[in-house]
Amino acid sequence: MKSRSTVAAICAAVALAVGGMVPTLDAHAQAQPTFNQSTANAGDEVSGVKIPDSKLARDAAQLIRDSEGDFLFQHSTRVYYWAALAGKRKGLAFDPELLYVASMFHDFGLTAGYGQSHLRYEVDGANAARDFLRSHGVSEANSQMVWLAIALHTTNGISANLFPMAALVAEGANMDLVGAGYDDFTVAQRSAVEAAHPHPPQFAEDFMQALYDSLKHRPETTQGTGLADVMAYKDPGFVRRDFSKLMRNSHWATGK
Amino acid sequence: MQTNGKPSVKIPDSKLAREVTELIRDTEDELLFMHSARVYLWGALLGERKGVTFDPELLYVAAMFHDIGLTSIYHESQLRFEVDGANAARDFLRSHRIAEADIDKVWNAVALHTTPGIPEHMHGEIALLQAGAGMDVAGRGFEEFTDEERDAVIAAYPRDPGFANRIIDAFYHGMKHRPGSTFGTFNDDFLAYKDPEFVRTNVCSIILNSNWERRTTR
Repeated sequence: MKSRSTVAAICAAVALAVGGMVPTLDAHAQAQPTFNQSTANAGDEVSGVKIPDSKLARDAAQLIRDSEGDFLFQHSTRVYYWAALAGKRKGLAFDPELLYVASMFHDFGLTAGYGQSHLRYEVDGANAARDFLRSHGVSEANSQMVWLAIALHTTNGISANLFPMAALVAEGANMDLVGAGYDDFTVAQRSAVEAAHPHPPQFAEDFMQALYDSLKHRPETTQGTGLADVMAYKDPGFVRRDFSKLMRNSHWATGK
Repeated sequence: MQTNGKPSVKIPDSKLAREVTELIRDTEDELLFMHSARVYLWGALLGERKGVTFDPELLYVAAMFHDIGLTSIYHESQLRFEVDGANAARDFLRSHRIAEADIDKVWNAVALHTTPGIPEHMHGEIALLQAGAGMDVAGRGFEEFTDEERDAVIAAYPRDPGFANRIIDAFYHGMKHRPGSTFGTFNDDFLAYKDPEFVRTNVCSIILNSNWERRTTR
């Protein structure tokens, strides 16, 4: 199963490369060897989890692959696999198609189209996913669930108390970014996902660079969230807002 | 809350509202109870002025419960204090047979009241609770209220000059046993302010020292 999907992925990558459609995010992505530019295709199966084979899923994959570049597309694909594997392990009820769309769009707010946005990037991604789902005739209730799952995927300690899809998107993203829950996955599962969609070298640094590139024009949206640490890491001039100080020096304290 | 001028709101007068008032007044100290009442009034005043659709009773229940997670009832909880409050509000509303869709609004309002940049895109109750809390603790949106409104709210539910330090104390006491729950939120600022030994967890250190990184450098 593992080798079959890898072969399929390589074939797909070649086909895409021939078609000139492999998008690149940055110099690093361009420098990757061809075999790393695996793409997820509808019906692909890794460790018993399948990419949903539907028009909705194929359209989402296409849109994300075309707009995000390989680095984030591969990350989003792994997020889906971690999320779906965790969901199966925990026996949670979730709709794989909605989980896939949520995973695909969860970092969409980092793309260049949001260079003028002053919303949180998570909200940009949530709005884009909701628009996409509405345009595909998905129910309002389901579209709202995907919205919330994406909007809250970086907010610690909340998603796990919402519905399964929200819990799983956050869990998948945390597993892929920081290895949260790493040991809850079997070695076989990790190897299979990594074989099909490997973490590139320098993943952590490149990911933080992608975050910074997208957030540096809206640093205020990171205050009071974990992303403020990324801003401080990349920009020595960035000042984390201290909420205690803010309260002690507020209009209430100054009377004005 | 009657002010002489136009935008005036008052605490909802219903069985549900009276019960939640009683419950919170019996559970929280005066500092948190008065704060919660003011948070409702700020939120409702803003909602009225901006024409936000919201159910005053639901907003009131959310405001009353929003900080209950800081009380000693939860001194063993490892959840975020906001989630403890959201769960308590949900239990209360279920016992009053409120519709699940309404309960979800209140749950989200309480759970997300310290999450920046998200609530304003959600239902009115969720947006207004966060706005009201931000106004009361940090003066966020201070200028959006008239002097008359501020005076009227403070006259009914006094906010003493030492409020900032006293509520920072309340945050600290409500969270010092669960520092991990503050990771990636601004709540860790309160722990850092009160406890010089406290070390903020930095998201980048976590990203740079994950299993993935250790594996690729091995």
